[in-house]
Amino acid sequence: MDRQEIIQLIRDREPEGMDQLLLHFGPLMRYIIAPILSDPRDREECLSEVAMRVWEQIDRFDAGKGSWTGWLTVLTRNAALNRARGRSGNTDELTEDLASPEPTPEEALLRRERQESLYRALNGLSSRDRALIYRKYFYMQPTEQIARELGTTVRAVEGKLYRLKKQLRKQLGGDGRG
Amino acid sequence: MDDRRFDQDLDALLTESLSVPPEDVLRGVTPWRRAMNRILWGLVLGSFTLNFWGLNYLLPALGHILILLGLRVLRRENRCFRAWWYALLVQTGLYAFRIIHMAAPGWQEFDKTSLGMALTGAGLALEFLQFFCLWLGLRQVRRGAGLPPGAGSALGLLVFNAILLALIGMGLTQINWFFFAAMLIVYLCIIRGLFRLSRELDEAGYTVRPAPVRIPDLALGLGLAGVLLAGVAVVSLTCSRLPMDWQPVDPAEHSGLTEIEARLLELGFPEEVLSDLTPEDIRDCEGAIRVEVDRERHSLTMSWDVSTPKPLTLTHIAVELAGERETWRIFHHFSWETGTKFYGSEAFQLWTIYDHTAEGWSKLADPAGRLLYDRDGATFWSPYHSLGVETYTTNSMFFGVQTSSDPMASFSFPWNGEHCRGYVTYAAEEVQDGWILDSWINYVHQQARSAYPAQTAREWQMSGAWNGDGLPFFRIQTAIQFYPFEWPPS
Repeated sequence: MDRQEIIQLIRDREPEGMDQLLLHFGPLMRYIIAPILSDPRDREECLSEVAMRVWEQIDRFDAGKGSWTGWLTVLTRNAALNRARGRSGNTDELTEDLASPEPTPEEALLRRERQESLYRALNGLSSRDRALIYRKYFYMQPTEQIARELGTTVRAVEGKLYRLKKQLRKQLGGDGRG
Repeated sequence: MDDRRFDQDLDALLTESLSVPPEDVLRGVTPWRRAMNRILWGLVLGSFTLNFWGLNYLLPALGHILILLGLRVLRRENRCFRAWWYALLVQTGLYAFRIIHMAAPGWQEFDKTSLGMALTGAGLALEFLQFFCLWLGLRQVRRGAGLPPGAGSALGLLVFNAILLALIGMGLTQINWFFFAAMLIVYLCIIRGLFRLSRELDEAGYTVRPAPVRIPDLALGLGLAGVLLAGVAVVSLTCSRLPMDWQPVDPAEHSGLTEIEARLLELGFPEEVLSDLTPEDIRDCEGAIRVEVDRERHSLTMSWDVSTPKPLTLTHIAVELAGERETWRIFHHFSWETGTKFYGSEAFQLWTIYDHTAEGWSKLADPAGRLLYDRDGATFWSPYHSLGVETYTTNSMFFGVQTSSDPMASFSFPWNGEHCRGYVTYAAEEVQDGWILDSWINYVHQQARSAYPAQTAREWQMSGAWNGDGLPFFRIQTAIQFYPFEWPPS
């Protein structure tokens, strides 16, 4: 079934939409949840929670603002992170729109400046290097998983991440010395 | 701010700040797509045959390496991919052997042996096994993700190749443009279907658990390419010569032949050629009544410049023997100047008088002869690597497809041999009076290292190739021609 049809089914509050969502996008959601939550029961609960959020918040999805995969990815990742933080006693909650808890105005300004610098630096990286950074810091994938999926060794991934961080540090105002 | 603190802050900033990943990251972060795309591109490259710039070898090699890199990540995903992986390892060994073996002259002969045919058959079977495993493996990936199985394009690839093989097996080697275009369109549709299938499987692909690897892709790819290149280089440097059975010439081998030798010398037989003959060939000249000699020196270019070095001397000798019917023994003797470089193999083809002018002459004795060279004052001899009648087919733009049978010899001289030389002799008797005695030798000299795949001088001659720039082979075509009845000359 086409993803547009699935989205429409959910918008129309058709239960089949949920079945199709889990059938077609369950693997993606599980893939995102797995590195963040280690407990299998937590993972399944998180998956159900994400499905519920999709059901509830489907009207917030605007194809003009971003792709379905991107929206679902952020929703899933934040749900998994919230669950992981809840496990560790941190109750700050992430939403599909925000990457971190709401800060004070000053903090928000400072953070925005740093984020802008960070995105500028990330945009200067090659697509492959950027994907590596996202795998590590957004998808929270362990180095072993990254290495397996990229067909390389753990050591090679660690070395590459070290060099990329050094490069980013230099661009963000650090001296770049190892 | 110290480095460690900055690192911690950077880690925190990255973890907290990264929001919706860009589209290229969303597409690229999957355990499936990269590996599967490699496999599909590998299949595409492996199925193309572009006969220029060596692409007919480079593209399949690149394709094979891509499949290897892609499949090693997916090898533990299901039983079919695992079976394919093991088959691919065997196939890689066979492929490497073939690529390296093709740098050695004579590989085409090996293909005709039972072992060669068995290896070719095994390679073909493994090729089909890979299409079969691809089809079943893709179905299992879908099934594993809870999606309905179905990988029609992979099955299409299997069927397409089976039909192609059946057509070749039925002897369909020449196809018209319409049929070719139809096959190409079907093939492109199948490949397009496979890539589409791979995209459709992106969803199911998130369930794949890639296998860990010990060697990074780049190192493995470069390592394999390096092994192949090194193998080809070593084989082409060390195996370019044909195996010969060199042994010292017995200084007393001509004892007891003084009388025949004296008679031949008296009739004008060149002494330096006579000393190279085997005792049997000298005995075969017993009762000689006439000797005709024709000697030419040849350069190794098409240049008409008289100052061009002429390192090859060809001496043609016709010896008439006493008998009821007119009988001739023909000798073609070749002698190289010391210092000539022999890169690999040499060859010659004979157009004998009994083949060339069958109306006038019939065969009395098959071609025979030997090779010689000097080193440090000693002389060594060897039989030819091969000397016999070869049947071959050429396709010339002037004469079309022709099948011929001619005596052909193949051999190698040592790199450091001095005064390398040899001869061939045969006998014929008159069938009908009045025919010209017209015996040709087409000598092929290798004057550069053979291009890849390796070719012997004999194979080059049988391919009907032109001299061109003389590299790596150069052909010298010459003959002894005279009317025997115009003797003694008036």
